[in-house]
Amino acid sequence: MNSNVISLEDVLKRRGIPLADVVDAQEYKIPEAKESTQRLMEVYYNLKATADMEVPYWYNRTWWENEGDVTIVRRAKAMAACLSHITPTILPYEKLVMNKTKNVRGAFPFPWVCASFFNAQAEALMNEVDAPAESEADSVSVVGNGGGNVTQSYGSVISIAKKFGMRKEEIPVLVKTSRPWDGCSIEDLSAKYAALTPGFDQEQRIMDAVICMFDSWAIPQGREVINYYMPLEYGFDRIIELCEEKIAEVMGEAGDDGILGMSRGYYYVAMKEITQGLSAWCENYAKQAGYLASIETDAALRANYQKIAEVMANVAHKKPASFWEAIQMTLCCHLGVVNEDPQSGLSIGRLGQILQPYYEKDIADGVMDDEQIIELLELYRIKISCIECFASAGVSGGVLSGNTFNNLSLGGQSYDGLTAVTPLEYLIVEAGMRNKTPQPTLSVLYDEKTPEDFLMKAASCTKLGLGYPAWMNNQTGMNFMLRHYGPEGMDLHDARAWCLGGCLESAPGCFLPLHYNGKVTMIPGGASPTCGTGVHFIGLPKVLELVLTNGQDKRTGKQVYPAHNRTFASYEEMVDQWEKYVELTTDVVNKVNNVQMDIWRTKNPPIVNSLLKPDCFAKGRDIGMMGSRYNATINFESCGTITYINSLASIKKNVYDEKTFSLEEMADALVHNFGFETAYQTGVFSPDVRTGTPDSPKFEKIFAACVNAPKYGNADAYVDSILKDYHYYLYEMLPNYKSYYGKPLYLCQISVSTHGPQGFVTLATADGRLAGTTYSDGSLSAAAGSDKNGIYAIFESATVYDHSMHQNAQMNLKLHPTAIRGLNGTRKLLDIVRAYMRKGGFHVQFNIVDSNELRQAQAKPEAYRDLMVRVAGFTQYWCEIGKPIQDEVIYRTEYDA
Amino acid sequence: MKHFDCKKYINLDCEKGICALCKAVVQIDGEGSEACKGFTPAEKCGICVHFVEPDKYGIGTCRGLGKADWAYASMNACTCSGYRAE
Amino acid sequence: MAVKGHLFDIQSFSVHDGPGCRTSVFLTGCPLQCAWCANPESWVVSKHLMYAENLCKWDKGCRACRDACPSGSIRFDGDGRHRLTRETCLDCRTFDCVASCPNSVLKQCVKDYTVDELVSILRRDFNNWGPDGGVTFTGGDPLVQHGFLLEVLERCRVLQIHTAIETSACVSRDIFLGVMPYVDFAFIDVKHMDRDRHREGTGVANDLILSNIAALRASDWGGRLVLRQPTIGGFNDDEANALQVIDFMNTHGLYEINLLTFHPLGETKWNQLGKDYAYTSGRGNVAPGALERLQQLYLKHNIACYIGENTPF
Repeated sequence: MNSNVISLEDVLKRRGIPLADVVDAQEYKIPEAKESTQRLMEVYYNLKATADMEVPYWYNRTWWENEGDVTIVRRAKAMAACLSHITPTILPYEKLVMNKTKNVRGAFPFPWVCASFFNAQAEALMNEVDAPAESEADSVSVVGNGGGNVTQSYGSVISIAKKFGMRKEEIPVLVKTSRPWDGCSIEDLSAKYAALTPGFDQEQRIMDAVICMFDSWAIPQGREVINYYMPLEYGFDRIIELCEEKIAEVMGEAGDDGILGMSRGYYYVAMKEITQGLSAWCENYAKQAGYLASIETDAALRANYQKIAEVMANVAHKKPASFWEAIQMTLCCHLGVVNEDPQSGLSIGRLGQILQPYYEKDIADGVMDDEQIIELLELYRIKISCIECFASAGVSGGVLSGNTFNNLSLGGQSYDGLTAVTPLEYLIVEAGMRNKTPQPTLSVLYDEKTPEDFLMKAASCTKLGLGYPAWMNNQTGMNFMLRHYGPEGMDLHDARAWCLGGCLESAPGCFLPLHYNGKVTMIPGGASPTCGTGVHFIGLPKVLELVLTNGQDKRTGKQVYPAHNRTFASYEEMVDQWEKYVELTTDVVNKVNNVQMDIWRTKNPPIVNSLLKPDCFAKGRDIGMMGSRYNATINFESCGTITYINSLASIKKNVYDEKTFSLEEMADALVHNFGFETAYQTGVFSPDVRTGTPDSPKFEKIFAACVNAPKYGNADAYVDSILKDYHYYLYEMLPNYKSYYGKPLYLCQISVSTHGPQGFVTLATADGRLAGTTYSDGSLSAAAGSDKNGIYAIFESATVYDHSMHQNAQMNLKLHPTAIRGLNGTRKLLDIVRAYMRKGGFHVQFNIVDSNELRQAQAKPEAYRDLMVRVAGFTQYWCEIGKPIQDEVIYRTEYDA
Repeated sequence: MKHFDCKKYINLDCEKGICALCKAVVQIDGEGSEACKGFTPAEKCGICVHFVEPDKYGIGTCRGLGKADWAYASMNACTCSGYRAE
Repeated sequence: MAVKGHLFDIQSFSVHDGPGCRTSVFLTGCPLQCAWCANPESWVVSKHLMYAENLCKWDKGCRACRDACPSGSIRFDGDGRHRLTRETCLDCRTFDCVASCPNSVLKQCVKDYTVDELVSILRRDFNNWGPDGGVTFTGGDPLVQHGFLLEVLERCRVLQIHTAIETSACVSRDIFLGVMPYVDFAFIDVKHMDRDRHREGTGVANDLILSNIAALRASDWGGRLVLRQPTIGGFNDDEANALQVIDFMNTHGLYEINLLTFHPLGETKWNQLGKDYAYTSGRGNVAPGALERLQQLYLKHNIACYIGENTPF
């Protein structure tokens, strides 16, 4: 029968009709993930996020044993002891090994950073009865209760921070480990000195009102790009020798630097300690692999263990001599850095360019083929997905949605200004298509020089609806780098090395010469401290609310800002007051942040990261002492931009231009939630659910006027010009405030998940959004349901200002799968990406999913364990995100064909 | 004797692990947590000669590494240079 | 006075109505009145009102639209439901009721654009289409407003914007052949080859349509022509009709056809316009596999037949 079937392709050929693209995912049958991947993913899906005390125990013991030593050396010894005492866990079928802890999705508390939580709860924890009490931010974050999160205690497992399970027998250890840090943790010390900042009371009121989402000490590192150059170029044994050479050279020498010159010697002593610790950590894995090989009866598995033992023994001492060893080395360093501080967003950077020389040699030598490389890359995805961050529920759920943002960037430009795309990067995308995991998320640095077939490959991956890769504009990123880091000496070469740190934080980088395979390759890597710390998430609409309520938070009854007692005769006067409040906020929060981060860098200097970041080793300075090449990285993070802009447009039109209502009437309507029940009362946070009260008719007219006021995203100059003014205002205002590095602040526009909890505390807004519901997501996504003129109109609205003025901009689009179905669907998806990039749009990412499917998944999470969605700058399992964010994702405007 | 205390137990999370020999997922607690006759004790502080005077929570004193310090019985000691089995 | 076009939608990132990514411009007016029509609001050329009852909060006592209506066309009587007197409403110029509604229940269906206004939107969207895309004029049938259409098409030609049209070709020969030289790509619907069956389904016979296609093929028009058939179960999904289409295509040197799957998408809109929809509860659905069988039939006759969005453009 089938022999009689005529294919469309045949007829097209006969008729001479071109069929442009054949790489379409619908045509290309994606091969199944490898057997090893499938087996390990099966394990992964059933894992509980677990915290244990092994690392904190050894940190504590070593730290206190070395009391009195120079801080950086003392800390390096403590970190080295942690790493070298982690029980090595190797699972059957693993090829790449190492975990943060002995548990696979493991993490641990950092009492030396924050002990108050455990000390305050010591008795309760010991009684194993009460759930941990919640700080204000904790109580408004709902960590998704599905998946691997341990949201409640059960049996011998105690839930910590509503996210991690800890064995009951380790609770006394947690309590005992935390006690000595009472009064001297980073949190306690910074609180002591922050209290001396002028405006501290004001800052506290701002934090209590959740206008600012969280403190900087909570995750002092991350939102940056790691640099793997040192260990790849030298290997651990040689680094130890280099440390010894440097100690011999500089100990006792100040050079020309009377302040930091002498500390170089201690820096190299510390680097030697930590390198020995990293080496021992790898050795332990080599030993464990050897032991497993010795008891293994299956020949293939035994050979696999033997291979792991060989790789780990080499990585422990030598510079990598194969792709396998090189990727294992990067994994070791990555886990080493994430183990030294609570952190999220330690990005991998441009791994496919860094490891290309190893790939090239192995392929040329016939050591491995592409399928074997893809297998390692698939397994790598599981390793990165297992990286957990131990933070309070406020940070884990409210900010991160449980994700740790280990972003991997692709594309961009090379040192020479040509396309940086490598053959290995195609395989990285392929592995992401075969093994669909939330991490590492992928980001394409879109450049006009990027090969079309690579863009098509990446688009066909985006099309699968996994949320990755997201698309970033390489030229806009480079322009931002030159603009912002120019004063620190950024040149065109280094500008080309930028990529994404965290979900969307443009991070400066540099190229360094890797000697491998008889040639020199300039490989990119990060060259700065965190690019996502500072004034953490200011809820812009909440500040506007307080302008209308004379500084009083009507939700809590507290006076947050000094009463302005102004009546605003003009729109400009009202905006002026908003700016005054924002500046006051920036001033007081920045000061406290500076104290927190200064305490962190002096008390708790980064060690592993200060080994890796250029030019720390060259200068003999850690990251805290500005050892990195670029340091103007600390910023101001905004949240709810479009909710704020739309609210201004509504007030401008209804109150000032058309004078339909007075500002008092507007404020009254907002305080009364336009006469509807609040989300707090109904428990439903979706913006489209409204339940009337007897008061509703009173506010009917003003509510309609607010809902129907001009909205961003429709190519309407009335509202888009407000957005433009806002951007110029922040661009000029923020540099007036300086970070603890003495560098100007700048704007970072990642909402991550904070638009959930910050929306939660915000009353109704003048755009018609009701109290408690989420803000609009991202910084340039239209408010859900308000974009009525299509995607091209959103692009037009979004690009009314130059995106290279700020660190980033965020645009989330939700497409119905039918919109890009068909033989040319991938091409059309790429067309729309390119359209936005051509306009200078910095970032666009897609959820390609049917809202009905999401609703079903919300009702039956167990049937959708592997469903992933793009939230803000990251992909996460649907069942592991909180309900308010789920509601918001469902409600985003969906584009179909 | 529990799977959890066996050298062939591979850690997964706070409630379970894998047996390196049979590759089965084994629970830490409750039903199915009892080890088989292939049990080999894992190195843990609780069975180290240098670990003394544990209290009711299993917190005792470690004298195996220079300066004595507290330690806890359930901690793995496979990476410890001072570990000596009882 | 400049001629104005009556449009009921402008859709960006339109991907199934011609090559590449496009902007689809929906013009009102249609010579056909297909019983399964997905866009019945296009039948009325001028501005009129749609009402989405499922969103209306009449039961919560909302009367905002009644208070806003200048002609008293909206009432809430009897059981308290929203009642619209369409006869008086049709004369409305202000549509104050739409702005008064907080629940997006009321929608003004048609908006008027000058040629300049529409062209400025197309120039803006030109930045977004990519190399293959352009504008598609659809409806309704865009040839009903041929005067406006021709002016816009002439401007597109100057701007080198790729143009496509989706039409029934059911207009006078002069108009048809006057517009088509400005069109690069055309979908023409052939809903049935039998003239009586065609009249049953659409209200008009197919003579003019078929002869216009023949005339176009006989002219020196250099565009690409793809026939389209919304495939309606029980109406035109049979092989006999397909064989007649094949015969017609072979006669006139046509070799591309796009079979569209029927979806009862129009139901909500029919209801919102206060009309009854005949294609409810599964009527019109095509049996599984039927489209693929029709496709094979076309392919065997060396005609490239595409199902739904699986087109090579």
